[in-house]
Formats: sequence, structure tokens, C-alpha cells
Amino acid sequence: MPIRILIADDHAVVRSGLRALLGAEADLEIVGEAENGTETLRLVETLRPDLVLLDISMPPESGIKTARRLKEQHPDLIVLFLTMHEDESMLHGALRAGAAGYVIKRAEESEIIQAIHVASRGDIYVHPAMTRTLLHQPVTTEHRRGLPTVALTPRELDVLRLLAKGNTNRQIADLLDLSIRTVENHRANLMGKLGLVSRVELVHYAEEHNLL
Amino acid sequence: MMESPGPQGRTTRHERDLAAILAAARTVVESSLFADAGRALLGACKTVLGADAGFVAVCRTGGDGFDVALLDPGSLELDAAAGVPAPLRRLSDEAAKGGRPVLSNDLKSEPASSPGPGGRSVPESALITPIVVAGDVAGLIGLINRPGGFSAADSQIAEAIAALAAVAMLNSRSVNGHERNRNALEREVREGATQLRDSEEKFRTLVNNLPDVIARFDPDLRHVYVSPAVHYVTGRPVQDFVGKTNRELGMPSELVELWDAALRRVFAIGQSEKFEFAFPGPEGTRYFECQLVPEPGPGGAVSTVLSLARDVTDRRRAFEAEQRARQVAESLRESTVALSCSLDRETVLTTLLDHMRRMVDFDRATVMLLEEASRLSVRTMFDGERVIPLAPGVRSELNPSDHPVVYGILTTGTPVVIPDVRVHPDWSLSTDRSSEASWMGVPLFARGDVAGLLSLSKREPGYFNEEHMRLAEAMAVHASAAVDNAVLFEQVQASAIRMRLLSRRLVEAQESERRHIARELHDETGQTLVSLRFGLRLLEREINEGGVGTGRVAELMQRTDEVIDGLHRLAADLRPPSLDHLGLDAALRQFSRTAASKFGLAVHFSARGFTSERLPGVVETDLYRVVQEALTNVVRHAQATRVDILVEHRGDRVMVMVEDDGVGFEPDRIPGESHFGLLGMRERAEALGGTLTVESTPGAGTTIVVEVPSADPHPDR
Repeated sequence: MPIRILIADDHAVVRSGLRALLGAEADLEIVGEAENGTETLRLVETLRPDLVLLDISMPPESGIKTARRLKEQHPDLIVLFLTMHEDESMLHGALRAGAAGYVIKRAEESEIIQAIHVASRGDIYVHPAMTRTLLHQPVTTEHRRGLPTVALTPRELDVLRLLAKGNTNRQIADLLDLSIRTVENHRANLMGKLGLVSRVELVHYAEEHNLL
Repeated sequence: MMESPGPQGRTTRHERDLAAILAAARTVVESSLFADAGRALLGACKTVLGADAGFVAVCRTGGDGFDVALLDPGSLELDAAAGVPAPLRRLSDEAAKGGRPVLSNDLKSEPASSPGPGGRSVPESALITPIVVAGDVAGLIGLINRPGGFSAADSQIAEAIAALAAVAMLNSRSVNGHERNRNALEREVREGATQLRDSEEKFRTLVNNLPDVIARFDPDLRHVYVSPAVHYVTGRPVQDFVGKTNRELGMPSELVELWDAALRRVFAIGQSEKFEFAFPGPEGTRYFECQLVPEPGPGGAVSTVLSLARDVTDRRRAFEAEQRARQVAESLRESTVALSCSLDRETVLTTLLDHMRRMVDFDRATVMLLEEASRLSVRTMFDGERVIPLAPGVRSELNPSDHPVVYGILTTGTPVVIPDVRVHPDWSLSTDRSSEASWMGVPLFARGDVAGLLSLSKREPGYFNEEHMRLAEAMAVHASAAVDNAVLFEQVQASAIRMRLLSRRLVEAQESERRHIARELHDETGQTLVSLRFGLRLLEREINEGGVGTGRVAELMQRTDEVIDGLHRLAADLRPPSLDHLGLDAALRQFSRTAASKFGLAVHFSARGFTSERLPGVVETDLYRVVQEALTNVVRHAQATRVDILVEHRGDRVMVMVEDDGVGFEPDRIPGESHFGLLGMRERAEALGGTLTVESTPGAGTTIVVEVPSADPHPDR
């Protein structure tokens, strides 16, 4: 039982290249070609492929959006991205959209075929050139998560909340009817007590301790 | 009756004639009544000339015909009322005209002479003699029917008698004249006296009830008379005045001098005079218009002067009010014109104080405008001599909440008048005790909100009144419109300048972007493609020479990858694909990561409140560019080691914050290049209907916050 594949790419050259490349494989069957998101959705509905080989840059709609809609309507459908973008945020976006794999276009033919097989098994395939970026996950704040809420004065807590909500020192000074100098002092003190160095850390701290 | 002729008889007759004439002449001399004299003379005539009948006629007034004054009809049937007997009229007219006696002995031939009824005898002969007084015929003596007719000698006698009649007439006339004159005079005097009494009575009633003060002065300037109205005006009884001069009455000396000078002139020159004066009466100052009229005495010199003083206070007040209203209207009009002529805020405020001074005489003034809720700054002041606009560096500032009076005006929008700030419990503004006692504060408005305050002060306590307040308010309203305009103009001007700077920068940025892309394409992509082509040529040669070229192909693949990489970078720099495919949070996360490695900075990123729901493309792009620009500024100027990038989608707003720990800057001294950067960011923020806040302290970093609505600002575009 060959894997039934729908090719979705806005470039006809790429489509025919892929058809030639994959059509030569005995266990793969190209059931159709689509050149945009809408056509992809329509053809998936009628052709019922096992797998969609999906491009990201496919005007007018982003492939990632198409993927999201495909997975909503056909949760069992395997979506495999084949894209120019060697961009970690795109990879994350693609995986979050429910894709089973992310292959870059300059990959070897063998790599593309391998990715199709891996995805069909229910695993995730990420091209080796992109796996490095998967390690760039945001640093967790695990080590601080356990920190007890250090004894902050009520004023410092007020300042903390307002800082976390994105207020500037002057705005906080106006809101709390304090001088800007006092706000700066509170800010320095509370950051010191909590061992925070930046606003973003402060926001995360506030989030974790339900201070927002 | 016939006398016998003869010497005896003649003498007798002659004597008798003479006696008759003499008797008549005596009567003429003795009697002043013409009737007596005339009768005597007519009698004498008849006697001397032996006529049957006779008459005396007098000339009618106006010289038109005769009236018969005396008639002796004799045997004839004659009626005095019928006038001169008809047959004699022609003769009479002839005698009157000629001034000489006329006789006729043949009257039967006269047309009007016909026998009377009952066969009575008719005039047959007549002698008519004119009575000539002062050359004019004043009357006639007529004699009728002499037996044998009249002769020329008769007419001579008649003429002599007529001369006597003329004398008698003259006598009676002059006597009658005198008599009549005296009677008329007596009557006139009697009537005159009555009339005088009447009119004096009427006059007195009039004068007593007249609101005007009428007074009579003697040459020593003492009151001889004053009308009762003086009591209402001065509050003093009439008796106080009579016999006293104004000075003795204790009138203010200025007024005394004015009056005395005018009175003396009228006494000296004898011409009436008009002047106006103010009198401090018991119920405030009243204004009078006074006329002095000379009254000549028997000798012709001015013996008294009559004064008539009319209270014109109401008229004057009405006039003054009208004058003032006109002046105010004119001032307001002028100031409106002046205010609307200027689009510069400082000029508007200066003009406001200048024009205000024409209507309210203040000693010190300032115009204060709210810079923000807690800052009121003095923009313009009047230092007692001139109006001075204050430049930004020298404006004193105050916090309205520290000053209850000011705070009250700003929050209620109503003016306040303080009679004396030195004793006012809530007074807190710094004032010069020597030159500022009464104070008035009037709110200024801009687009319906209280935008500032007009502060006026005056040396005298209790100076400002309702009217001042109304005027100041009216002016403030006019000024408010002008201030509005000026503020709008400033904004338009500022944004025009900003637009110019931006469009210049846009052109420059576009040019440098193009230069960058061109260099990138030419130096990198172009060069690599050239070498790729070169490699292909080598590969071709190797294959032609029977080689496999595997090593060459691997090398060419690598070079192709380099081209692809370069193009990716170039494209991502121009516009990150994640912005199109994933959304703002993903794109910024990617950007933070790239920037960290590219610039060697610790870039912390946090995104909150984002779902799979995308923001409008224009909002995402603009916010992305704002962060990009902010980071460019940080890299260029801040010397920072750490940058935090926060993006939060909260309700219908999106907030982006870029905060660094760099060197910071003085808010009003933004370095040129980042100034442009800030302008661009502000422009983007405002185009989205949002705001940009920049906060920086030297040495303590910079925070840039952009907050915009999450909805598409131009959904129809």
C-alpha cells in the first residue's frame, strides 16, 4: 500500500521536480498537486491523501496557516513541510501548527524520501540542518521557580506589579504618587532581593507567582 | 324874520352878526368839546347868513365820506343819520376836493332833489364850506336855503367861521387824545399788574416743583434765592442757602472755584454761560449741567445772576455706560482681530494681556498654562510696565495642587476675585505685598478644557468687581479660541517639520537600503554565481575529458548553498518571513535571538497575551519596525550590555517595550541620529493611533514604550 501524497507548492518547476523524484519510488504515489492553500484544502477533501508535502511561502495564505486548518479538519492527515526557510522560528511555528516534519528544499532527495517515511510512521522528522536550532529553546526559569516570594515591602510589591505590566518609572511614580527617584530605588531594591537582572525576568517572576 | 334895511338897521344887524361870531369864538376857546363849539359856530353862521337850515359834518376815519355831526334842519325834513342830504352830496364832494367853499342856488335841478313826502319844502340853495385842519379837509359846514340865494360874500364869512371850526376841531382832538391815552394806560397798568401776579404765581409753582435747582446770586455771589429742589440735592434746607456764598456753605473748594469764576464772568461780561459740575451729594456723586443767566438791574448793569442747574446724572451715566460698552465692544473686537492674527502662542498671550490692560487697570499680571496636570508654568507676565513673554528656560512653574485657590479655578473653571490676598486664609501664591493686594484669577480654556489661568492683581485692596470679572472672562474666551488655534498651529507646524525630516530620512533610508542590497547582490551573490559558472565550465571540461567530476560537483553544491544562504539572509533582513507566516511574537522572538548573536548583547524577550489570532498586518509590521529601530539605537548609542524586549497583547491594545541598561540621555538632548529614529517610531505609533513614550535617565538606561490599539487603524485600506 503506497503512501498517497499531495504536493502543495506555488512553483510548477518544484512540483514537477518532486513528482519526477518521488514518482520513481515504488511505495510512494503522487495523487495530486495544489498551488495554494485553498486548493490544497479542497484536494485533500476530495483525494484523501495520506500525506501533504506543504510549502510555507504559498501566496496568498501562509502554509503554516494552511497546515493548521488541515490538521483541524483532518487530524490524521500527515503534514510535512518542504520549505526554503531555514529559520528556527518558522520551524517552531510549523511544529506548533501540527506538522510531522520540516524539510528544507536544498536537502538531498534521499533526505526528502526519508522524511516522508519517518512522518508516515508517526514520528517527527526535522532536517539535520535545523535540529541545532531546536536546542535554542528559551532557557527555562526552573531554577527560580522554587524561589519563595522574598519578603518584599507592600510598596515594592506594587512597583513590581506595575513594572511587570509594562509601566515606565515615571508612569509608576504618577500612579503611586511617588517621586521618580523613589520608584527607581524600589525597583533596584526589589530586583536585588529577587536576584533579577532584567525586566523580562521580572515579568516571568510575576507570572510565575501570580502577581499579574 | 326880516330886518328893515336902513343905516340903523344895518348897524344893528352888523353888531348882531359880530356878537354871534364872537359868542361862537368864545365857545370855541372855552369848550374842549367839538359838539359845543360846532353848535355855536353853526348857530352863528345861520344868524349871520340868514340860512334856513345847516349842518356840520366830519370826515370819516380813512377819509371816505362824511358823517353829519350836527344838524339844524330848520323848516326842512332832514335826518342826521341819513348823512349829508342827498342834493348836497355833489356840492360837498366838490368843496372837500377843492378845499374851498362851493355854493349853488339852483338845487332843484339836482337829480336827487325831489319834493319830500307831504309837500315839505326841499333844499333850493346851499353853501358848503370845508373845515381845513393842517391842510387837510377834516369836515364841512353846510348852510341850506337862504332867501335870495347865497353870494360870494357869504362864502367869505362862512370861510372865516370854518376857520374857527377848524380850531375847535383841533382843540377837541388833542384833548380827547390825551384823555384816551391816560385811560388806556391806566387800564393797561391794571391788567399788567394782574397778569404779572398770575404769571408770577404760575412761575413760582413751576419753580417750586421743578427738579432743577434754580438760584439767584447777588454781585457778592451770595444766594438771594434758591428753589426748594436744592433740598433734595444737598440734603440741606433752603434757609441754609439764602444770604450765603458757596464757600460759606462749605462746598468743596474745587467746586467753589468753578462756580465763583463762572458767576464773576457773567456779572462782568453780562453773557450767559453753561458749564457742568459734579456734586458729592448725600447719596453719591450727582452730575449737573448749569446755565447762568445775567439779570440786568435798572441801570443796565447786571444786578443778579440766575442759575439753573439740571441733574444730568442719569443721562451722563447712560452715556458713560454706552461709551464704556462701545469701548468694551471695540476692545474685544480689536483683541479678537489681534488675537486671530497671530498663530504663535506666546504672541497670543502677550496680545491678551495688552488688550486686557485697556479694559481692566491691573498693576501686575501673569498668564499660566498647564503643561501637564501637575505643572502650571508662567508663560507671559506684566511687570507693571510692559508685557514680557517668557522663554522656556525662564518660566517659573508651580504644582496647582499646592495652591488651593489656583486648584479651585482649574478644577471648577470659574473665576475668583480676592479683595485682599494679604488677609486671605488660603492664599499661597508668592505675591509682592507692596504692589499686589486685590487679585483676580480667570480660567483659560483650550478645546473646552481648562488650559490655564489668567492672574491679575492690583495695589488697592478690593479693586476688582463684577464688571472686571465679566470683561476678563470675555477676553479669556476670545483668547482661548486663539490659544486653541495657536496650539493646533504648533502641532501642525511640528508635524510638518517632522514629516519633512521623515520624508528626507525615508529617501535616505531607501537609498542606503538599495545601496546595501546592490552591494550584497553584486559583491556576494554575484561573485559567488560567477565562481559557480566558472566551476561549471571546469566541470564541463572534466566530463569532456572523460572525468567523473564528483569532487567538482560537491564543491559546486557547496557554493550554491552559499548563494542560497546569502539570499536568505538578505531576504530575512529586509523582511523576516516569520512576520508573514507566524506573527509578531514569533518574529520578535526570532529577531531577539538574531540580534543577541549579531550584536553580542544579552537580549531578553517576553511575549504575553498572544494567541493564534493574528494582529492586523500593518500593526505587526509597524511594531516590528519600531523594535528594530529601537534596537538599532541601542546598538549605536546606548553602550548597553542588556536589552529587554517585551510585547504584550492586552485586551484591545498591544504594548511593546524596549528597555536597555545603557548610558541613557537627557530627554531634551536626544542624539541626532536616534532623534530621527525616535521620530520614525513616533510616526509609526501615531499612525496606528497609539503613543510612544521615551524615558531615559543619564547613566540609568532608556525605556521606550509603544502602545497601540490592536485593531487595524485603516480597515478600509
